[in-house]
Amino acid sequence: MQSIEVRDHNVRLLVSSVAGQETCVYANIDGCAIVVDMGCVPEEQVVLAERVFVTHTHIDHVHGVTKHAALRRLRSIKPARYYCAPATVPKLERLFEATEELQESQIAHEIVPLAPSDNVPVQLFRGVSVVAFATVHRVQSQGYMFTKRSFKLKPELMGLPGHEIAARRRNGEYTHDMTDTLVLCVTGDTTAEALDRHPLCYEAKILVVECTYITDEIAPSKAHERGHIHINDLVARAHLFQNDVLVLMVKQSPSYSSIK
Amino acid sequence: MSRQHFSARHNAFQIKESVQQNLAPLLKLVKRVIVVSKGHTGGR
Repeated sequence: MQSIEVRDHNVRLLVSSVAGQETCVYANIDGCAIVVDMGCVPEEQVVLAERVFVTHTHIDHVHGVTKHAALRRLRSIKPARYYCAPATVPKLERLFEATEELQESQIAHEIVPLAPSDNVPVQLFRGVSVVAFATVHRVQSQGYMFTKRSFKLKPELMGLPGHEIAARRRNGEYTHDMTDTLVLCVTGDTTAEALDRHPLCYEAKILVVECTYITDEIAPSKAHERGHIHINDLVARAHLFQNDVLVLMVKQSPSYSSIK
Repeated sequence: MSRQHFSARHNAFQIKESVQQNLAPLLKLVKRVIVVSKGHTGGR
């Protein structure tokens, strides 16, 4: 997995992407460990992550889910929560049932439906919350936006002794400004249409996008038919991206001669 | 290192180079562009 540190926002990413085989995005946001898609379980940190978000059910995105649950059981770690679209819940349950049948033992897990239409953020851990948003792929799919809430002392109170600030708080005064920062957005497999429908993607501090085709060997129209982004789609929208960090997961295998 | 393994790594390197040269300069408001690719394992 490729390790990416984003110190400004206290985020550490581990990203793996191999076309048709495995996709896995681990993020540690202020101590809150999450994984988006689990096509593999490549690192110890991924096993320890308690919250897993599934974008869609293609095998290279969910292949590692049951292994993740089984590894946690083996190590007596609390079962993880697997968040997915409501329609995906029974599919993942069947995947677990089949694995349990093969294993001849139960694998503890919790599958949590999270609909893109639910605009109420789900609180995860210490001010980190998540919402799902609909994306456009060949099967039902959704991306995830993670927001971090932080509190900062009001500028006019800077320099006051702690006991005075505490006294003001006891008297009901708001002493801190609250800020919500969209720190991470992971789209999963999608066409660029999803970015346009959810322009907040362009403003996330860290945006992780799958860009499957980067040469003209596959026409953009063909990429769209397959529910993927072609690099031309990103070029056309280049002026819209305002992210601090843009992570492109490029999956195609162009021949040497075609890369110029 | 097998020829196939070498090819995959070589591909990944070229993909990153290509994106960094062709797309990254257009992303004027983005501070950092990171390309993650492990190269070919089959088309979809």
